[in-house]
Amino acid sequence: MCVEAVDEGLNHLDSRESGVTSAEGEGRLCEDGDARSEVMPKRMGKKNGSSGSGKRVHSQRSDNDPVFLDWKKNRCAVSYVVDDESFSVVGESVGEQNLSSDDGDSSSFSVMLGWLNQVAKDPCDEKLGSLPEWSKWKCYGGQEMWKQALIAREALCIKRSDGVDFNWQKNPRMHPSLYGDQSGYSYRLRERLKCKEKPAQKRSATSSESTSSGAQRNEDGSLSASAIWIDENGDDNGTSDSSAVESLFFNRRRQRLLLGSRYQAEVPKWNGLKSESDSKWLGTQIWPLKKSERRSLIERDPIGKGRQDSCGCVIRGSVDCIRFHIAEKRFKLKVELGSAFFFWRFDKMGEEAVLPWTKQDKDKFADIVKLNPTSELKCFWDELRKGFPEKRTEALVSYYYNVFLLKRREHQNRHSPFEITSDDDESESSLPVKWAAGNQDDKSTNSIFYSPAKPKPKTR
Amino acid sequence: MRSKDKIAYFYDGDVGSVGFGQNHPMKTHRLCMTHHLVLSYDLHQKMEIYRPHKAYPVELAQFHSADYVEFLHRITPDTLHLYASDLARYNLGEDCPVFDNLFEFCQIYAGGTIDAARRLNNQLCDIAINWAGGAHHAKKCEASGFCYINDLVLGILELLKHHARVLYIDIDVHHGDGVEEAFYFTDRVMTVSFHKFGDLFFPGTGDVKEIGERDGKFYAINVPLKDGIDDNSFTRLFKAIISKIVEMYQPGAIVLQCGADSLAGDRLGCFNLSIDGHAECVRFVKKFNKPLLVTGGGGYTKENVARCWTVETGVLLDTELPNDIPDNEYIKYFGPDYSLRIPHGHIENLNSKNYLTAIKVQVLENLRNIQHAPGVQMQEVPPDFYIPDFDEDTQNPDERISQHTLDKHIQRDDEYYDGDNDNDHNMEDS
Repeated sequence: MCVEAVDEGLNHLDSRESGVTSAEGEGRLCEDGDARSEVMPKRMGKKNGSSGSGKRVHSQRSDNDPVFLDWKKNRCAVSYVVDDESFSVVGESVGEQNLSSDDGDSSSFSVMLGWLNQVAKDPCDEKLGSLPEWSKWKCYGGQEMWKQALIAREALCIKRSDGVDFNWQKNPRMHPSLYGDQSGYSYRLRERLKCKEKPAQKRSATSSESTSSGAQRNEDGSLSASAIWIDENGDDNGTSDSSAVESLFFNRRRQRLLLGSRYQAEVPKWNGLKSESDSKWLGTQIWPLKKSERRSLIERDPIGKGRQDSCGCVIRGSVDCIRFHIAEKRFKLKVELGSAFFFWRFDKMGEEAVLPWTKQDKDKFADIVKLNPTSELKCFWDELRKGFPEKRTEALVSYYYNVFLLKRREHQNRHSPFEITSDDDESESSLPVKWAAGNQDDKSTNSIFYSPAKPKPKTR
Repeated sequence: MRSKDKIAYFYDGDVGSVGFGQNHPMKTHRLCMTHHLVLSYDLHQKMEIYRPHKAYPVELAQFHSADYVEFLHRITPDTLHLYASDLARYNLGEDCPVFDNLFEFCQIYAGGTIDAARRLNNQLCDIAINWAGGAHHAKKCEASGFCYINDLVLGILELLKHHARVLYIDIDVHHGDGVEEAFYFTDRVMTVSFHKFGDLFFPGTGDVKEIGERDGKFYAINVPLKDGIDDNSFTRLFKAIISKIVEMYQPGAIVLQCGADSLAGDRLGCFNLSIDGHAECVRFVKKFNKPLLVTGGGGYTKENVARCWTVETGVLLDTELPNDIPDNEYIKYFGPDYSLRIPHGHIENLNSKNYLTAIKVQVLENLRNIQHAPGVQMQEVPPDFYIPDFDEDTQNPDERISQHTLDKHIQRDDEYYDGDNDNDHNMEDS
């Protein structure tokens, strides 16, 4: 059954993208071909490092010899491949592609593992090839290394869904490297694998009926994932559908609505009588101001007035002109809003928020952000917190959005108006690496970050 | 249309400084930017602005399970490592990271929606806005898709205390699965979601065949769409479906989730809507003159989010805003154009006329199954928005087609009625 499932998985690979590991996401990662190979394998590298052993496996490789790898030694490096049975499944399905050695069925798998390892070490190595756009995957056969890697992963997914260790696929996640090094929380695959008791117990205890509806093919051939599972006991149920193909979908956590007391809201029947709607908590009025506080501005702008392009400044549009008009507007707002100005934290906004920051702090802040670019999958927020232990997170966030980023945008508006990047997950340089494009690898299908490749829109 | 609507707008100054942190695309700072932009156009002169109370855990537990609320309350980034299995159970940690002040953040945005619902119930306003709300993915017992507490469900439950039926409309690019799931069994809430579906797009649910179960059968409506839908196609479909729903269902109140990730250029979305197209939906819903609760939702290109929700605030206030953004603290974010509108998207529109017609037909077919609200006569006429489904592009423009042939094209098997009676005067919308 596993082999059949793998074949089915292969077919489905053709028509859709699949989830979890980093190997397959490349086609959707970047619209820039050059960046493509960079992003994916670095995650592989990170995964190797974070899978528990912390060791990097070094294999000898020459330009001419095929890669041979002892997969047992590499177990920690490719930690989602857990047991021999999985290997044999994959070996059977791709065994005909005996690429490099005279060994038995496991050799092609070893070759593939070795390839993955090399990709992790040196993603830019041209010998490794590159991943085509995902929509073209179906055009490729099992002789491609990346295709084999995908198939292997799918086989493991299917196997997991049929087996006891349901929870592994139950919680597909984004790769943690997408968030940089999270303090206090590290990616622990083995931890996840251990979290079995609950679903196993529930499954054995429930006598639930399950129905599925709407599992039909869409126009593009992919299976519709709208399965509805009814669980009389309200427990999160695994699939009882015997089809391995459908289980591939339905075992992905939350690609279906769940029904039962743990999922639906309790909605009372309507008896025509309006019940008490608490009139105590209706919000505190901040605006309009209380009568005692109201002030009248000498000059008030009409509602909905836009920006005036003419002003009396010597050099219109200069840095000083803009600064002046912003300050002018700020002052007006402060006078008009009264206490609301402080309730809405406007006093902490804008470049005035920089006042508590010394020049030294500002330089340090800029250095930390620069040295931890998100294009290299670093997270400068952690470094900022370490670098400024005396400052609260809100202060750092406020400075970032109200001063640092504004200055960057000011620079971009003047000097590179066609390459605007105003989010911290785009690099400081002018090369935009979109979040959706740059971090779409290793994606579970149940991550909101997952977004199919879309043609790059024309930049402004 | 009645004279001026009274608008209540909810905002808490602390909501924007919460950091999802890490390299997360959800930037609560977009709420600050929105608020600032709204004020820069002086729209605050036309509405009342409230600071919501922070929702108490017991209020959150009106929908969510007590253990989940409790966990959210207690977990901090420093204690994460002690609760690995709980984090997995509640789906926290990656899409939904644990950050400082997470619970307070939830209390603020949920409190906003609940207070908004209460003000509507007490008829203290006609329209209530909470741009910080709209967390439509959150489930009863777990977080999902950046959503921890489902403020929409809580707001709807509040509205249900005063209204027999509530209509929920969702124009976020993602399926409103949390809200749909919560009310899947009941006919007191009709959930309608327009979203991208297919290609394993998050969350994966939202097929047109999901229509509800038991008492709620036919009271869930899904409009699955493909990449690149543009203003014209979207607004036509939206108006056609929503007008029929309001006519048939006669809700007492409407909740509208205005996720801005359905705009062109969104970092996670894949539609081609302009801000005007998006706002047209808001304008259309407002015209029904029902108590209306408007929330935010997704939107990951923060400047466009701020633009969109400012324009929509203007729409709700019947104020047309000029394109030039006035001077304000954040004006640099809107450069180099400093304009309120955004360019149209360039993603290929994969929604063919055939596809959209098929979806519309199926949705309207399902709608026929619901019982009309008492007092509303059954109208057996098709809507006048029906589009004859022949592809004009394949027609040879040089070839004269006889009227008979044209008639044949129009008369499809799935057309509602025979003959030419296609006009429904009641569907005329203003």
